[in-house]
Amino acid sequence: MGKKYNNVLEMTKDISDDKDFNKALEEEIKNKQISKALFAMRCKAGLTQKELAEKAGFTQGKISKIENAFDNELTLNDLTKYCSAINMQIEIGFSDMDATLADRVKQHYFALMECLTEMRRLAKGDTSIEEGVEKFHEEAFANITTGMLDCLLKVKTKEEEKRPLHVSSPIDIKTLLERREKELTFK
Amino acid sequence: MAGWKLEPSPFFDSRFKRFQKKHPNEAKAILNNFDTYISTLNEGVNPINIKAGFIHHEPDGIKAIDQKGGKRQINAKQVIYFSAHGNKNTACYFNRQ
Repeated sequence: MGKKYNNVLEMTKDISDDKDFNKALEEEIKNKQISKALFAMRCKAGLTQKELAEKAGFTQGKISKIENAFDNELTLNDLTKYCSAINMQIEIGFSDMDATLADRVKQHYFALMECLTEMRRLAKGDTSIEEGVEKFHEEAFANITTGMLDCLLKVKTKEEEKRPLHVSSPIDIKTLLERREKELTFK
Repeated sequence: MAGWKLEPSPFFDSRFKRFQKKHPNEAKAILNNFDTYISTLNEGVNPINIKAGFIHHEPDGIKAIDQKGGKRQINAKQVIYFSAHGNKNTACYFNRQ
């Protein structure tokens, strides 16, 4: 069994000693993340390029061009039409360039709270929907807390101090009591 | 989502280096297409549903990937053959037509 790699870039960097080639490949792969995502979404939707082109009002050639484009070559118009054809919507977010991962976790938390609040607001007045929302909240609570607990356990850095196991001979209660009695008698 | 691993065949190293030296643009394009294919597999998409101009379905579950979509490539078709096994391993071969 030979060496295994997690991705194409890792494999290429290990096999190829041409640094310029490796760098060019890395740039190409990293700068085509959106088109790769679009390709995967189309395949997930079970569509060929031709079928998607018909739905989006594009030619097949245009779809091929989009799926091979660098991220900075894609237009919002093309993205919107492409995503619409596979029943997806685009969400654009803005974040501080200096935002840390911790900041992003907090942002997601507030976004989550907003969605749940909106869900409750929309459900008000309709008993069946309210019941559904309540069930969803319970499910979300269970999943989120399970996930968070898993993260917490993985992030624990201190190992519990391992106490050495002390093995002693079996306790002879009778002898102990006799010894204690003698000690008390001598005192 | 992880799952698929790449395991080059015994001949891959030498053939790849030769090909890369002679046809760097084509090699880059093929590897980029290969990366797209693997990323899509890792999204949980069934290989049967992965359809693109650069993918060629060969017998016995083998897929061939060529350089289509790359810029500045020559006309000759260059391919990687690999097979997808049920245990989520991908064997890489490198061949030139």
